[in-house]
Amino acid sequence: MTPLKTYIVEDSAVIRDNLIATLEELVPVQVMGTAEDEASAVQWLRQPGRDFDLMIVDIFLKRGSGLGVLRVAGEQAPHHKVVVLTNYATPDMRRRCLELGADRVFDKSNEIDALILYCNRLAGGDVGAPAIGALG
Amino acid sequence: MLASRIPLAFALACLAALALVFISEGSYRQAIGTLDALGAMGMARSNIQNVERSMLNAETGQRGYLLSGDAEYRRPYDEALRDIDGTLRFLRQHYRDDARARAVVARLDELIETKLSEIALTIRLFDEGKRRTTEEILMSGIGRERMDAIRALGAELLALESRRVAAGRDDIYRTLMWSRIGVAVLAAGCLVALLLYLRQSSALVRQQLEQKRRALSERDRLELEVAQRTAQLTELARHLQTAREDERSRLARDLHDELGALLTSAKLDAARIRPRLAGVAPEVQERLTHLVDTLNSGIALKRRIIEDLRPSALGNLGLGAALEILAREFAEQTGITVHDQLDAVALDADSELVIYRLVQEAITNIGKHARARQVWIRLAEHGERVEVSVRDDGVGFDPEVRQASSHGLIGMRFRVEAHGGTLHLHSAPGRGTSIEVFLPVLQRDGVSADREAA
Repeated sequence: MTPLKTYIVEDSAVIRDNLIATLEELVPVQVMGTAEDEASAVQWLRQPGRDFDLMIVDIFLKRGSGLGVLRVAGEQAPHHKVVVLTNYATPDMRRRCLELGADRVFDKSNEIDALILYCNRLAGGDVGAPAIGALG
Repeated sequence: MLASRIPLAFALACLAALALVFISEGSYRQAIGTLDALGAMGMARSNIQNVERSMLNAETGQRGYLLSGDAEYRRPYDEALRDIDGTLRFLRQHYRDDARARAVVARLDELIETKLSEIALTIRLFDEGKRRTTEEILMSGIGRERMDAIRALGAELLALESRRVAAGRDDIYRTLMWSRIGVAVLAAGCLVALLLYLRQSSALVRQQLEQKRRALSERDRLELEVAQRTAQLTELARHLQTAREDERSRLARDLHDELGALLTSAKLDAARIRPRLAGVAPEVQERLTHLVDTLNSGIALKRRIIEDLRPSALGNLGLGAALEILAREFAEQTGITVHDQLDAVALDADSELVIYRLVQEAITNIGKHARARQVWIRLAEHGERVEVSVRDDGVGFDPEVRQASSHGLIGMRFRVEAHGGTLHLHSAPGRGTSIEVFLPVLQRDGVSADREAA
């Protein structure tokens, strides 16, 4: 199984470190890098020849917003998946994120298991994901 | 002060008038009396002269008769006899109060009586034919002496009478002089009193003007002070509001960032533990599930507190989107249809928060009291002003009647005014309620560009 090339945009160091450790333990992933704010994430995205499978984006960042990252990621060739992991997963926010090209939106508090399941399916080549938020 | 002075001045004026009348009346009566007395003195004078004349007539008549023996020549004597009695009676009456004059009159009376007896004696002797005796009597010179004495007494009486007249005249002069002095003094007194009164009343008027001026300046000072205090209170309210929002915002950020990260981290740990326990220790897995449930409850609680503290959508998504979310959640919770028309507007972060809180307060009130079916929320920019309005078709209320829940409205108005805006409330029973707020737009200096990029 090819490891999932993953990039993480998350401003909280506690969550970022724990998320990387969890994903590496439970999912075949290869974390390519991380960003703390919108500008560095966009800068990373815009480097030529950028190739990744999955990007996990937090919406509320120290500077800027995950929505801007989504917009830029959507402009790139759409063979990768972008998912949102946020503490503000209101229906409205979900709609906005999906409109900007996010594949899925996960709640930081309640949908960790769903994110892990999603990643596992993605690594296994199964992209026909079930309905949003099916798992708590 | 004026009121107490007027009756006093009036009484003094009345008193002065009375005194004038009294003086003039008194001197008039005295002068009349004296003049009457002067008239009587004139009569006394002529009577004194009458006495002398009558005595002369009597003597003339005697002599004529004695020389001629013709009764016709005796007539002046007879007339004199008739007149002299009345004249003497008048004089006695006239001098009854004057001892000296009375003595003179008595001597005159006596002399006249003697003289008349002498004349009567000669006439009787002449009638009896005793011519010789008659001539002797006449030639003796006694009659002439008596006549001279009568004349002297008459002159003395006249001199007395003249002195009395002079005294009466002096009386009149004195009376007139006193009256003149009295009137002049009173007139001068009245003038002085009038002057004093005028000066006092002008001082009073000046005093009143001064008091009025002082009251006016005091009022101006108070108005200024009220305006200053109001401005200070508005500033203080704004400061407190800002401090409160800042504090809430900081608290929300801490809860969101720090506590949120800790809880998410705990959830991640739970996710890592779960597969390791699979099939090994089912009872421990049960405890893990319970732990995750507890964590979820903590997360939900944290979210509620944060949303209550700070509308997270406002800072992240902008005012329009935040209001849209607010409206949609309100519609979902209450079943009231919400029509929103939310344009992009340029406002500073504080004003945005004011509008957000205002709309939040307004729709909360609608949900609690209005019994509305529809709500209209509008956000638009007109030139220099941003207009936001919240209108409903509910039961409304009478804005004149103080509402138990009007603190929210007062607070809203205060916050809007502290940000340089105005708030208008329109409502009537059965006619729904509408709140309109105007706030000045943000001076465009590039600050708003950040948010549009976000």
